[in-house]
Amino acid sequence: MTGVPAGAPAFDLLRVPVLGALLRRRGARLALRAALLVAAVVMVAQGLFGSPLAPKNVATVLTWVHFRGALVAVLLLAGNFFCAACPFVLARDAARRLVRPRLTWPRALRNKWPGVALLVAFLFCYELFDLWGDPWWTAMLVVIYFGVVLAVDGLFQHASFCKYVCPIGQLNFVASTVSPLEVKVRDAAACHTCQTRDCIKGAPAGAPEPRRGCELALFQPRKIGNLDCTFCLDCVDACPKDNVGIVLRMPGEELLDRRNRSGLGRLQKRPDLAALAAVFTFGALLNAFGMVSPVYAVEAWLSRALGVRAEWPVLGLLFAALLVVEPALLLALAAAWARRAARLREGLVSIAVRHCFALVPLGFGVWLAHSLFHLLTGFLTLVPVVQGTLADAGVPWLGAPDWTLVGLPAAAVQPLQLGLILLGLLVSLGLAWRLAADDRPERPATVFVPWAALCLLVAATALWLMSQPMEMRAVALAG
Amino acid sequence: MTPAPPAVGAAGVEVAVTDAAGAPVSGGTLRLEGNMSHPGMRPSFADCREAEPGRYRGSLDLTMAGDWLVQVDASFPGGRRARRTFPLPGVRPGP
Repeated sequence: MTGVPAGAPAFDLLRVPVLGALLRRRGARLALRAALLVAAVVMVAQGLFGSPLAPKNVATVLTWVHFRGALVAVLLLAGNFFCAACPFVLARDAARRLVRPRLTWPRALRNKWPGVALLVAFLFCYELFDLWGDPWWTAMLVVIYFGVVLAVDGLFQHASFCKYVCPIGQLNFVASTVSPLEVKVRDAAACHTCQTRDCIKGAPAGAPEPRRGCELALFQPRKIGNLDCTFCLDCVDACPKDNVGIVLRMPGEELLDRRNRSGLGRLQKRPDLAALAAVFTFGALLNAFGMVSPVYAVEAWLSRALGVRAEWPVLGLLFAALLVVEPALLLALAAAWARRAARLREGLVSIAVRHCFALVPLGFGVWLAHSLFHLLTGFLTLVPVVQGTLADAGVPWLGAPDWTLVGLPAAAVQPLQLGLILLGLLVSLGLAWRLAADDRPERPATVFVPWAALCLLVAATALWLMSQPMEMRAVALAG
Repeated sequence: MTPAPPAVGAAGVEVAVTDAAGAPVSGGTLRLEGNMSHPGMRPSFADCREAEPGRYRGSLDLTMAGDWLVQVDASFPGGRRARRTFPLPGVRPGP
């Protein structure tokens, strides 16, 4: 006897001994957030007052080598646990003990357009201010994040910042659609008799056991997939029937689901979510492009053509071309090709919105290839940086910095990069086929071919980028 | 710095050290440290020797293309020390 009811999910992380019990404990989750809050404070202090050299500063090393790589690795292997451990939530909850927000998020902004715009702005600032190479700006990024969280969630109820504003959260939401774990109802039948809906409403202050419901407006029985789920596990705490788990599922499957989902509606009716998926995918290419040799030539050529020396107009043009015009053009071309070949009767936007989600696994493969490169080739650099920081502070407990500690050789990581991009391509092609089969069950190839061509083009671009000499830029125009 | 523009591989570095009046400062010990602008990369180190009064030369291994920062740590007779960091942008891929 295992105590697991018949029909329960095959794997439920919350039923794993020790780990499951830890995740279920609010105190343990708070401790995790508190640990990351301490790390954030250390990073801010180091970024503002530590070494101005990015490779020798804890803030830049932790943020751009370890945090970024670990984030995508956890998303690939488990789920959106970085949002679950977000230290900003701890600051927000502490502030809300003093001031209760009274406003609701404006109806006109209850979509992903603000998130899309802020994600583009974040990627733009990352390039413009060379965030990876600047400890001060890295620290300021954390400070600004705390400020915006406190401002937004100080004014607006629920998790407005997480759901509509946070650019990193939007990236996590999209990437987590390809994660293997999902916060989900264990037994759907058990919800049929539920009258209280604690998972979304919670139990109010004054109740015998006050509990918070889902702050992101996800009603568990109608929740589908990981979009907008921060893995905070408030629903797990709230459910009086202990009917919410973290279960194993088929990665990417949720991107095919056309049902109405709680807190989101139908994916195929959400151009804002499709735009987020497009920015996620093409942003991965653009972010990688910023690190390779040809970007020098392109920026220099644009600089001469525009007759400017400042970087922002050149970068702005690149972003407009590669993150707006190119995706829109390619998606429109694929949609037009599919409509003509399969004699679909919908508009181009409707077709593009539905099929755009097939690109997500491929985009995630590119993010993985890029971020894991930095993590795997540089994970040991934190050791000498910490040694040096302590030694500079007059606490040489760890000895002299050993700068020979780096990580794996780049050549050893390249096969993994290739494999991640090809794996993403395969999953994207599989999704594209199934979406095509939904559109034209009798002739899926007519719809599939255009989207497969787009996937292949994105994958070929990613493979070309990864094959280019890596350059670590951090200056304005190369001239 | 030679070659100019700098390229991946051994780079010749020449550092001129003068006092406030512009007179060359001899007898110092200079150590170079090259770091990529991006964290997570192996730094390069090199010592310089004084080739002529106040002019110190060394060879720094630039292991990757991109933007580097070269830090010069100098110590002089009498215990005087100095540190300067110079940007070295646009190191090109090797031949």
